[in-house]
Amino acid sequence: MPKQMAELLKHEKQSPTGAQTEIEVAGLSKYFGKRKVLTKISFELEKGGFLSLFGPNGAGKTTLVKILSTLVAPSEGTVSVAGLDPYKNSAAIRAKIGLISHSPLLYLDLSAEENLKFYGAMYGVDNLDARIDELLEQVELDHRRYDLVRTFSKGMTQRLAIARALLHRPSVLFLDEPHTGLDPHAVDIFESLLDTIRQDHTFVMITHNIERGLALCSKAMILYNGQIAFYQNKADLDKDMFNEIYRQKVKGEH
Amino acid sequence: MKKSSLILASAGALLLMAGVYLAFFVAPDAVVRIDDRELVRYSQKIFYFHVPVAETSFVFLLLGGLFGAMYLGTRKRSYEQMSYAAVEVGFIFVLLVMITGVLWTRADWGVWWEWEPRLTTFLVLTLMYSGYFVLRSSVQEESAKARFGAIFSIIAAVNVPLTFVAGRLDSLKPVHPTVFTLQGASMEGPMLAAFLVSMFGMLLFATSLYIMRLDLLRAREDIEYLKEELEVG
Amino acid sequence: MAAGKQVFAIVKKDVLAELRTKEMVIAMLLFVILAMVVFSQAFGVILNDLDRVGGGLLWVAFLFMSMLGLNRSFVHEKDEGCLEGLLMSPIDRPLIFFGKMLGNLLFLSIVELFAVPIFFVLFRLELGASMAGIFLATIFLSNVGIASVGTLLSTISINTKTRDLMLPILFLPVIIPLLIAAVSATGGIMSGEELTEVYRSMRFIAVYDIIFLLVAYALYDYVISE
Repeated sequence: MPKQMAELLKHEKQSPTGAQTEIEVAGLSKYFGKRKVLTKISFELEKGGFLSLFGPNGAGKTTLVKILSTLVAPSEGTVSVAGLDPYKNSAAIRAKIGLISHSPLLYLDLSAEENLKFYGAMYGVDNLDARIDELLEQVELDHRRYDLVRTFSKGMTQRLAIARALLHRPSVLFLDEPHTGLDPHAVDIFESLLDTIRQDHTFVMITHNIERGLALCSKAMILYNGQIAFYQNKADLDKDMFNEIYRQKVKGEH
Repeated sequence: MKKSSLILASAGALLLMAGVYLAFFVAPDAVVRIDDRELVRYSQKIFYFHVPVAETSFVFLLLGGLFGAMYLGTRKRSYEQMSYAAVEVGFIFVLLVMITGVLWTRADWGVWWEWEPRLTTFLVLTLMYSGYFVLRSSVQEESAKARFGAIFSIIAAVNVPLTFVAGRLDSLKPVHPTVFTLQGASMEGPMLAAFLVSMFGMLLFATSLYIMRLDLLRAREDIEYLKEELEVG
Repeated sequence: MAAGKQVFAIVKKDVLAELRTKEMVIAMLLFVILAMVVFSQAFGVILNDLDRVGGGLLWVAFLFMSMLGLNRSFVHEKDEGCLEGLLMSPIDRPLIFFGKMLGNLLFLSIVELFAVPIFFVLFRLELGASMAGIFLATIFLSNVGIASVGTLLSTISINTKTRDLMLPILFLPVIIPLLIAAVSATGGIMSGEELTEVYRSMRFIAVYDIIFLLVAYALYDYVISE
């Protein structure tokens, strides 16, 4: 497996796939004292790509996403998101990324509109009112515009969370276990929504849901103990190998 | 024990013993006149240890804040360990100030505790730095523990002088004897000598404690790391 | 100007949420009145000398009441992941501090605006109009320090295991210098002391405020981002 992975990495370096690279990570390490959280992570994701990130808790998935979204500084290596260095242009990058998490990132005691207006002010969105109209229509929450988020169902909250994440027209979206706590119906709605925005965004998704993770992705990666244990394009993905490594590393079976 | 800390500890111990000798046999005794009799107040001798202990505690608490700031600026683990070790040593000396202070108030004023500005200040420092340790133990993740520890060591160090000034705001005159004023020290000759010897002895002793503690922290981290490596491997 | 808008949006959002539930302000006001009742029952004997102890009584009530609000302020941010959402936006970190701090300052001052007259009525105290101005100025000046230190430390305490239990342990020792000065100032005003003494305490409070505003400004980035 490592050989194949190395080939893939080499392949990428030699000939870019034609599409523009949106996320580039090279030799990224993060450690605290001697404790390594991430070790020599390298990968590229083209514009419009979708990376599904698997791995057990504590493998470093969240840290990786936090580094990509400027919340954590790397110890070593280089990172570029949308052509910018997260550590040096953190505000500029944050303006280009969105986060859809398993927690909604919404204020329960504010209405849908007030939430969006608040985040709109944070991002300095132009023509905010028109943008809010447009988004609420897109996620079909127009009729609940003035209702408190507290009164929303889980699925509705998740849809509003998506509207919130798209508010400032980000080009990269991070999804942090977005399926957690959603019922099957809500998952359907969520994925059809995802489908409509798939074209113009680049995605990095942390997930424990193998089926959905593999179905959505263009690249799949398993992190284990801060290192890449598996990394392949979906086009030539070795499903058996993926399952084998997933079983060993994530579920801890031998 | 490392050689450096051994040398420092021995030098500190020798100086402190010399300080004891100078304080009791060379420095003049404090004498009070009651009616026609002269009484020697031996309790005053604690001054030669109480004050050096207090000043040593300041040095290390301020160092703790300084190293904390350096950790936040550089994110080098070693600065965080230095900050933690310095606060620990500073805290021990704050406790010693409390103990020697209480002994003295008991001997001189006849009470165990007096709400006197300077004693109160040290009680507040004791509580504030207890909060530092409670805070650290209440954070699980190592990096967050280091970060919050460093931040609070800075806040606390900033608050040390403020607490002192605030203690003097009250128009009531402090009953605590004052040796150091803005005009300089009101000591001379053998008294000053005894004091300075104790002062340097205390600083050397504290520094040796600090180095030992730092070595211990580093060794502990190495062991933790090795244990993890073994588990994973 | 974008910075001003962002700070204003944070304050506005906190005020909107509070107007909707009113839970925090009402709880704080009730707490402060209850504290006064508890004091009057616990220290009944010395209440004849209220001119001297009244200042202290007021500030103990205010400090403990302020911690209720400070804890609340970040529980809301943390629980639905909103703090993370806020951190992901391109806002400068110290602006988050100023937004939250101004909100806390506002709630604190509003509650005190109701609590002070109640305090004067309950304990049969009187102040001339000119003194009342200085009295309120002292309280507001102290509120700035309480809100600054409190916002800074409650951001830390919310990230610990014990959360709201942690705040008093960190907050009270740090706020004691301000408490000493505030008690001395308000006590001085109530007992008709020389104003120069009062001004000296007020100057100390102002210095304390400035120092901790600067400390918070410098440290807040490290407090909220990893």
